[in-house]
Amino acid sequence: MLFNSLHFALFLPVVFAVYWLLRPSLRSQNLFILAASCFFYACWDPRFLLLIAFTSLASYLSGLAIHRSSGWGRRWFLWANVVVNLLILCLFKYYDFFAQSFADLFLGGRSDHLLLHLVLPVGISFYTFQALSYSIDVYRRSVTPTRDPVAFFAYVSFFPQLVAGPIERASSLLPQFLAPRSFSYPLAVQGLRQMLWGFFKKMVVADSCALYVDRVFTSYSDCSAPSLIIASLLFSIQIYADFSGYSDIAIGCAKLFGISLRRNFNVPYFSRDIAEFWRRWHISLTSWFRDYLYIPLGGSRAGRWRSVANTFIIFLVSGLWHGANWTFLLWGFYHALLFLPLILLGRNRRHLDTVAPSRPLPSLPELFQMLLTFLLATLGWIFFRSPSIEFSFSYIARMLGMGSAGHFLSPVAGDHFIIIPAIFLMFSVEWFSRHSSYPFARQPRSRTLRWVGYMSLIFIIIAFSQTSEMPFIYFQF
Amino acid sequence: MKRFVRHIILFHPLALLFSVLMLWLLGGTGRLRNVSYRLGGDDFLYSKSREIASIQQVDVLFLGSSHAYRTFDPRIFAERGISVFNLGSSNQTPLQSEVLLRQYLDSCNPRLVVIEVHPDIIDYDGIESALSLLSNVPPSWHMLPMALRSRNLRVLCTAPYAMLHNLFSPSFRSFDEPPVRGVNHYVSGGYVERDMARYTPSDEPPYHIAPLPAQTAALRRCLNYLDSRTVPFLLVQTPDTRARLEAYTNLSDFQSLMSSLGPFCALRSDALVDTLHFFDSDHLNQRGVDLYCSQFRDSIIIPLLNTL
Repeated sequence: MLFNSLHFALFLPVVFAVYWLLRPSLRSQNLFILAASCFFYACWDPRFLLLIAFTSLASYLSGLAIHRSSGWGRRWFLWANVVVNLLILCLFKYYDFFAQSFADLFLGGRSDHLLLHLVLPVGISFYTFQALSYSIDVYRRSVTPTRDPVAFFAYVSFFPQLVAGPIERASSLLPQFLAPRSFSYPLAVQGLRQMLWGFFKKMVVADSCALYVDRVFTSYSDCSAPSLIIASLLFSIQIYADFSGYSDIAIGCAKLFGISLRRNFNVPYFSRDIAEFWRRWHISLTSWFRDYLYIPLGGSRAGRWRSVANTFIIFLVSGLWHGANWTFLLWGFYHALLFLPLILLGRNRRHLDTVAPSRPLPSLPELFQMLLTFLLATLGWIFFRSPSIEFSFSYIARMLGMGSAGHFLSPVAGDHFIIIPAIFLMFSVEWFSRHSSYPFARQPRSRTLRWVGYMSLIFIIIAFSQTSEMPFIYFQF
Repeated sequence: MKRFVRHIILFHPLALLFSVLMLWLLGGTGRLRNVSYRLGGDDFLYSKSREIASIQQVDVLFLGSSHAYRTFDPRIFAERGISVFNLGSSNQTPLQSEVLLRQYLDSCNPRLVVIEVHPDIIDYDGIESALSLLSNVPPSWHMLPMALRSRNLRVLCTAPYAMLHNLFSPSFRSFDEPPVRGVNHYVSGGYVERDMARYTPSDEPPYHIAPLPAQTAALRRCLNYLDSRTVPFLLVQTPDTRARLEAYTNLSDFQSLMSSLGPFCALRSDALVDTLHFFDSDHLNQRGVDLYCSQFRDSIIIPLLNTL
């Protein structure tokens, strides 16, 4: 069930109404939200519910076992859970990739007998990481394990963030399932507002860009260099609007149930260098890698070269997390390279605040830095979007004018008309609310003006979104 | 919570009203992706809706897709003194036939209604036809359920614009549709004659007919409506080339389904030759129409009308 589907438009009000009708009973609410989450997930493939159940059960039991044990027992239960969860993830997501790569290297590409052709369960990377963080936090004694299986299963499978995050930590989300929740009007209104903004970003900005980007990427050899440049710039915007739009809908939806999820994007394209970009892009994953991989490896405190090595490890693993393809590894490697000079010069924590903190507009140097960071990120997204490494280099070569002339595809003609105005609206709103807790937080005092604003946004979504349901990019991960 | 629910209940109708108003105001700019309004077309539906409004009584009313409006020629029926009107339109599915039936049945008062059913149409969503109908037929309340049933954003956005525009704009009433459009000629009575062409045989890939539940349900509603008005009806499958007929993998299932809904006829003369009487794999050319239509008239329609 996609957020941008008629089914979800019917599902959400029903779940919302029943959930709050059950309010005095926390257990009933948790049980109901668990059932609703199972139904939500089963709409994709009910078979994989067993996988979530297994992951949840393994993490729940290991949490209790770690808490009760001491010494080697604690470590053994932690590793058992980590290994089991990662094995499942690797089997479904990476086995075929590594088997194919092995066959290409040593068997001349003959891989038929090696491949399993398993279907990738939606959201497996997200809920596996969420379950892993729980057992690691219990091991570190930063979280007390819960004895309430319903609350724990609801924490792992909470439907707004089940298939594409944000990847929540037990320390922030689990206590919310264990404490009574009361309906909050401001929180619910905030939630709806954030959902509306997310729908605009996904259904108008991202899907409009996708039309252009898909046309160019599927026939890039027939397109001119300017078309390829425009397509790569638009893909940068598409992937941001798509994924941050999804996150806004997920966070807003959770607020309707009285639950706060962590922020996943904090205006990343207003970053002044690549380090700042990574502090603002997919924050829940970046911070997961920081807390559970980078710091345990020694982080930046084990010397400069160790820090460089750790950075490369983090980016390569992060690339691989996104998908089983060499292009994602290359994308990770590229970002590690961009990070390298900042680490070596000790300038990776230079921009910790938001750009232009007390000014309405950025200064010229800031504007230049933001544009440069955006362009560097855009170059990286070409690897991310390409089906193979050869494709990405060929695309970049054509983009730089190396190749025969192709036709120019206008980004403002016909169905593409809305792309530029929609992008302008999105970045304008996000610029002026860059200091707020979410992009659509700043609102006029007058209710009439606010409502006219919401209605205008709804109208834009209705009038310009695609007639077919377009899946979110990050669902494939 | 009460405040939240109160605001939600207040907001939704206002948002709906606002969107309808904006669609009406901005729909004509041609900039809204989901408003697809086009006056006129190869099926001459606009001309048909104008013409049928002036008709008080016909013997036979035809509904259906291009197979209907390119097959049932009123001139051939007129030779035997039978008055017919052809309300077929491009890719018209039962969802659109239902609208036209409810809108025009009482005014043209037919003795018999013939609904053309074709394997290619019963498994089609009917979006194109819905947009054409909204653009070219004077608005009626029957269009709203059709738009909602389509579950298609483009139809849902076009519906308010087209209905309000056609209701209030003089340009709709004053539109003068030329009777010739490329190779297509409008013939009074709703028929569209095409310049002579012959079918060039080509490979027909296997085709599995999968009727959409929404379309079979709409067809049932049409037939129930006709029953309730005590108007007799006939379901008709028009001829396809032999190549196309052989490509259907489950034609008998389709024909059984149609037979179960009501009187069904799939007349196909052996005299029809693919390369002589068709202009493509599933449409007769004028020579084929002359041959088939007179046979259909004499063997099916006249005996049926005589029993009424």
